[in-house]
Amino acid sequence: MRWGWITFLQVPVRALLAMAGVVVLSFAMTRLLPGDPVALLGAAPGMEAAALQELRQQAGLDRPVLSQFLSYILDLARGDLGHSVSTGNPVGAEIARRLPASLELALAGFVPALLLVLGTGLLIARAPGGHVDRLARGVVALGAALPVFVSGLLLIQLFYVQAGWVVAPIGRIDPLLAPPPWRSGMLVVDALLAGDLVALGSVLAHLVLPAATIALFALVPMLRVFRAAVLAARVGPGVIGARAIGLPEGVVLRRYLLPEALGPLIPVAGLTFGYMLGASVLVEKVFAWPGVGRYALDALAALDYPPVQGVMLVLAGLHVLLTLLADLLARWLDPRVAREDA
Amino acid sequence: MLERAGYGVIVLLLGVAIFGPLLPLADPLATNARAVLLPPQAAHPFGTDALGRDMLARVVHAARLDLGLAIAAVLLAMTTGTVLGAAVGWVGGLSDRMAGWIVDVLMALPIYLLAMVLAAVLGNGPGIVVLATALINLSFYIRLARLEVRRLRRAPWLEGARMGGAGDGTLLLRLVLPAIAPLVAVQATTNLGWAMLNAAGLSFIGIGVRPPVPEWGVLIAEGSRHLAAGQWWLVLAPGAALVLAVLGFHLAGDGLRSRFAAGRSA
Repeated sequence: MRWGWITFLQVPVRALLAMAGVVVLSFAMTRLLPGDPVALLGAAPGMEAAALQELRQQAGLDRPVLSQFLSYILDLARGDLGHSVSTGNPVGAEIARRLPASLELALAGFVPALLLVLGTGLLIARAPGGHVDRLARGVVALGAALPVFVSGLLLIQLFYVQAGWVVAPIGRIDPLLAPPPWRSGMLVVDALLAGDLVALGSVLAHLVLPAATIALFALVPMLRVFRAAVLAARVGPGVIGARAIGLPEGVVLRRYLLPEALGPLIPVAGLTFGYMLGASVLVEKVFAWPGVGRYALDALAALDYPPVQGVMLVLAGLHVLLTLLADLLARWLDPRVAREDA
Repeated sequence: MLERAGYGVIVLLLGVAIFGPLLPLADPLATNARAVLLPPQAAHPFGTDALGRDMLARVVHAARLDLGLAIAAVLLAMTTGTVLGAAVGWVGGLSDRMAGWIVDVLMALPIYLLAMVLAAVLGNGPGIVVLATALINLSFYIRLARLEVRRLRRAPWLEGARMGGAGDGTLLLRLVLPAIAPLVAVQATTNLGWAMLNAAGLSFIGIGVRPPVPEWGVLIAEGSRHLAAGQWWLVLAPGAALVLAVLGFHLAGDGLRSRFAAGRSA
């Protein structure tokens, strides 16, 4: 039991170390590689060496690297991600304003995908090798080869250009509508809270295609793992034992098969959500979705560098956090995970 | 059956990448103001783009670059990751823990943002695609090699070689690395598919390969602007080429993996 606690503590420590590594790497990429942030400004006309030197001093770039690193960490700890060069706005606030849009899209894709995976897995457990199983294998094989920007464009072609079932796939809400008052930043939630059904309809109509694109992306790795886990659990000792003592099929599936098959799914679900946030850059470009990925892309196009770095740090932090949560959940559900790790 | 189809696609892709530019096709960069946005037809099987360039020629010419970027990235990740993973797995202890930490850090990095930061710092170019894709995929090889070497470390035939007087370096280079090579090769096959997706995705958002160079991600990005106007062929041709190529590597990789697993358990 004592050791159990220590292995449990290892998980958050590992997450902290990973995040520390990301921060060090991010700092190193900006300061140690050629081309410091001020050199970018130096390309602007009318910049003289003396002015550049002054800017370097202001930015603290003339101090020793270690002292620069310390102030970088202190800034990060206060949530200060620096300022955008092109607008002068604080990057942290700009990201906070756009993050709900990215999270809303991610959740709208991830939750349906997860439910679909669970349902499909239970159907496969009833009839391995059946129609559902074969369909699932096909979806996994084909889906793994389908990049999000192609599947997104394909959905636009099918459901907007040809069928005309959805609104123009640009942005989050009809530009002629007033968005609901800001509460969570997630427009579905805000529209519901405001009781604004017209806005809600427009928001959902804009959300459906990008969410479906993300769902397809998230479905593939989770379905592959859960299908294998279900098929393995089906012939495992737990399920065979439960069947042998004559428990009804529903109980066997719910109480014995499902928990065992969830074990491998949970870490993969955490990873998938993280990768999904990373891939949202592509989806946000396809659907002109005003999230953090688009913010970083626009900043990069304007040679505005701190926002790109800020978004990378935030997404990496979210990835570490999600992995940590998934890891803790998996250990809580199945203590054997901790032992396998060692 | 599916595995064979995978090999078939790979052979076709290699053929197009090597010999494609020799085929009697139109110049992929030649514009033609009188043949703008033509739908697929006999003279232009994949249609033409907004500048009247022949899409078939552009898709064919892109194969070499797409495949080249993926192979370069996978080779870089595979050699670095395998040697690093095998070495720390062999030595164990602190270096092994360090490698585990490096894997955790690499896994947390979002590839598209990492590539954007690298492009901002080092300057945008195809090298960024190779570097970012290799960095992201490095962790798979480190983990694989580390796990396999830890499993092999106490194998009787290695103990035998050690008793025969072989040093650590000899054991690692002459015996351990060749023993894990097939498994690494299987991983690399599937990995080539992912690398192609990454390379095309990065070009799609404007990192690495830039227009007018024909590359599938660039072609899809250019074509996406004309999708709403009904010019679907601009996306379909490069998109289908990309999906088919990736599918080929995945099917071949899956086939090799199950074959390998069967051989190991037998």
